[in-house]
Amino acid sequence: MTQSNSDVRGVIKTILLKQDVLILGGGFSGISLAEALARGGVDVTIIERGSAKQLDEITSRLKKSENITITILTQSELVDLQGHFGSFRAKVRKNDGETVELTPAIIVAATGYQTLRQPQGIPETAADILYLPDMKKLIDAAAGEKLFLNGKPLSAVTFFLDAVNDDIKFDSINVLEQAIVLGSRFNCRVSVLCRDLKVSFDGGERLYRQAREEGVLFFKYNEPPDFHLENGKLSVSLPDATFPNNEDQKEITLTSDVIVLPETCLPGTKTDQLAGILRIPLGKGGYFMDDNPQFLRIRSARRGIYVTGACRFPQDLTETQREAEATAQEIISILLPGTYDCSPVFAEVDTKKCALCYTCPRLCPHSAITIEKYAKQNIYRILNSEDDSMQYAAWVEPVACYGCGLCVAECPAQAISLRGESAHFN
Amino acid sequence: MFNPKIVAFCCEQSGVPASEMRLGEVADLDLKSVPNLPNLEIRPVPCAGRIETVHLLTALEQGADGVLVFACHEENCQYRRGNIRAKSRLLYAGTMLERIGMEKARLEICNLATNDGVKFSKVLTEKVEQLRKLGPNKFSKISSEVGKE
Repeated sequence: MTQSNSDVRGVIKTILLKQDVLILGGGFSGISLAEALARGGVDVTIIERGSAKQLDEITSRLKKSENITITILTQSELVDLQGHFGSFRAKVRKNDGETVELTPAIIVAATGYQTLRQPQGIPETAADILYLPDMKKLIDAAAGEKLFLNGKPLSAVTFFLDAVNDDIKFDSINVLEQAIVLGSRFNCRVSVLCRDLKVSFDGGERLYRQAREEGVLFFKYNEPPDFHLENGKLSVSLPDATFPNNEDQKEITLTSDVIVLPETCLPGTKTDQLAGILRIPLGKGGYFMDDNPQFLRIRSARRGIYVTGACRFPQDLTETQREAEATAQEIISILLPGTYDCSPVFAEVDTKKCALCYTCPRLCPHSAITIEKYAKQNIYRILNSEDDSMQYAAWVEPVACYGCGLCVAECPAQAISLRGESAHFN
Repeated sequence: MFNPKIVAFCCEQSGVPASEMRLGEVADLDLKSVPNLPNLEIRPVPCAGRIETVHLLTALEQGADGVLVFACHEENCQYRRGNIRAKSRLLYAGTMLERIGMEKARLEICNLATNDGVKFSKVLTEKVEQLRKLGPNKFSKISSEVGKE
């Protein structure tokens, strides 16, 4: 492959790596990742906003199982982050106001997501609305042949999907699983209203077929269906979209004892604030991931910062588990050599030309540029000034630079050059 | 027949791999008019956002009849917005060309994926045909005469 870095001279910078990882969030993915990392011989620190109670059970299990060192700081949060891959300086504030400074080599965000219960476009008759987790509890607790809700037996159940969440697979998993049980064990008439049913998970097609065989009815809608009260029961009307032509689509009215809705998934609280501290961009919907095929699944835009679990995108637990393992592998493979060789192609700032316009720190997609006070070998002085105090200028951190050259092209003072770039650009 | 000189700036994420595929794909396409573009110069760049306005203009000045930028699809830039930056710079260079009386069609950006060798070839063929209609770049001659003085 042709490379633009045909002319590479000089010594490549090598940094030492400590086997030290900081995980933000002590949820399922954070704990799984910490366990996998600790088994690989990496020192792990977890910081969690919540209380210790939530973590106690899991950590006691971990401590018993093996000789694992995981430090857990509860009721604390990340307030400031400086430095780059290999030498982050993270300020963690505890609930009592005490501040700790940590120096991890790698930071992983595993902050998870939150759920809200908000029925959309459905009249407020709380008795007729259930959410998927409640329905699961109801099914698990039920004994006998009939399912009772508030003392009344359930004979017709309608699941209403895709109104609040878009493209979230575990809604489909839960709906299919519950629909099969309701149909087969409790003899309910089950209908599922959805825009598109997502079956792209393990065994999804099989579950769907099983649900069809159990007599579950699937209705596809394009426009939001109309919910109204009929004889005190919540019913829904929608055109039958199985016919392609609008004229053929007859209106269907479904009256059911209960409407089951998924919970609305949202990014965790303060996700945007955390993204600001970590200096990584947020993707669509405010999650930690851009919808961009060029990005790898767990890597963020910054080297040394990873995102894993449901803070990337709400997902199934098995998927989260696998993702945590993948992240652990990635981190161990990068930390194992103990050193990291920077890419020979990186941007360099001519401190004499830098006018401190702050264009490059703003545009750098990898947050590799900061404004620094230059050290002795790189003194930048105002011309003809007697004052020999050091001046500020932009600084591209070679460890964090990916060599894309965006800053080189954008710098108004042409103070940045790409080290090792071929001659036709000079 | 006039064989226009084309300078193609290729993003290393998409344009360069696509250009390498081109040789394999040409056989499948009916590209008799351009069996092997002798006047094609491929300039790899780490990201389309690396290309400055002046690079586009100097390429034309130094004798290119057309300049193509092969960048990733929009929203698929590995560096977030490099391809969009390249596009806006190209549009700006186009307005400058118009001001001096040159066809801005000589500059073009093409968004493609890594495996889009076919699109790469198609765009090049179209460009060659278009440049044949437009004729040689008169301004490059002027600049070379200026350079001689």
